[in-house]
Amino acid sequence: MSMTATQQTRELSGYTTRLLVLGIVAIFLMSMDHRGHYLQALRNQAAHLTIPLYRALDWPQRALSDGLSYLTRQGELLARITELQAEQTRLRGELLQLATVLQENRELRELLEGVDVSSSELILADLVQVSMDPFSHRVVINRGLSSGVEVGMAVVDQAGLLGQVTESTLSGASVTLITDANHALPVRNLRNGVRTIAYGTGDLHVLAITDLPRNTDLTPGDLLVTSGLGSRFPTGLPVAEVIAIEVQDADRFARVRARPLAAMDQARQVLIVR
Amino acid sequence: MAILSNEKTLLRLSMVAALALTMLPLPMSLLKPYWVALVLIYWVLESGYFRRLEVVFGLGLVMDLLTGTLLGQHALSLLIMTYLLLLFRQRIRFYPPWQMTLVVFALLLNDRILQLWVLWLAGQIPTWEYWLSPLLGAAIWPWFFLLLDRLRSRQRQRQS
Repeated sequence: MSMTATQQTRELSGYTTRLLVLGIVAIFLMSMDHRGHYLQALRNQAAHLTIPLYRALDWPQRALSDGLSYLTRQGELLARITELQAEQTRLRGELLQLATVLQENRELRELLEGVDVSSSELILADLVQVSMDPFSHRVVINRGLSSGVEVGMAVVDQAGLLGQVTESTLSGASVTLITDANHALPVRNLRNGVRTIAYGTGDLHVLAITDLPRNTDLTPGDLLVTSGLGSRFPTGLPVAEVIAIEVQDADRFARVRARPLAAMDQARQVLIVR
Repeated sequence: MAILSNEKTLLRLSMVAALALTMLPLPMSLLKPYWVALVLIYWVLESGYFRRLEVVFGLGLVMDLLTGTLLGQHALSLLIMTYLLLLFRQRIRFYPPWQMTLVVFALLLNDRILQLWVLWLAGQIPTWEYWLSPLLGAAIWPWFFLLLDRLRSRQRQRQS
């Protein structure tokens, strides 16, 4: 390292120029990404590389948990099978009733709107256990194009809507959660049919409805379901429960907070509705 | 260990390991050091690598795509960190370990403040756990430094 003082100064001023140029590029990229989703195409391309990587990282853990479950005692397994069989019998019974209701519903819909609502198909997927940035509100699933998962499909868990598929590759897909600060979802109040839009807040447990006229009929405990407007999601998927309504006197609008029904941070298995 | 035949391979391996550690799921997702930054600090201080800021920028973009943050967030963060390191490199290199740890802590904290600004503009306010990461990073630093130093010196011995 025999560097003269002038050389060093020259090198440092070179660094400063580069820092400024690259810094401006970074800020430009961030605002593009945040404002208009102009970079979605780039993300889609990158997903072809990142998703296989996630799967590779997930593999050892999956193998480990599979190995551990192989060692489960037989008694435990038998008990579990009995339990699941009982559950299945109960669900079959409920399904029988549902079939009748579904048929009635279809007939009524045909009478009302003439729209044919074809029954939706479900794809089961596991969440790939990788740690994304906690503020990104995205998860990765182990099913992709090869299983018929396409961009825009709704993703649900047992309790409610989780999010929608935003990138899909052959071996996996990434899902943006409904709580993402950039996500907006058309919803309907199940009790009275009032339609509105639920926005993500960046908080995993809160959805917000803003700019609601004060006289809108919403009370804590109301169930919000997808309204099907925008024709992205099927109608009637449970989304969230209203927990609070804040009205400021000076303001003519109310702000509603709702809690998503899906276990946003605990789900392990999800269903994709196609 | 024929893979570790030269320093550049060790550098690449350590960077890949840092990225893998970043993606590794742990129960407390916020409680983890900024691995990529730690590896970067080590190599900038101890060798001439990462003098080209374009490389650091690219590394940051890769990290953004992997972790799903705004494209450019980690690029900017690593860029500024490397720039500060390059400015004071000659001095920091000869600091005693405890003082170097303080410098690392200051860099990581500064970075959190910078990223807070980005998150805030994007409409997200992190919780208090967000601030634990620099503490954790600084706590790990001395051991991390020793480990990489040991690996590097073993490699040199084998070469000579």
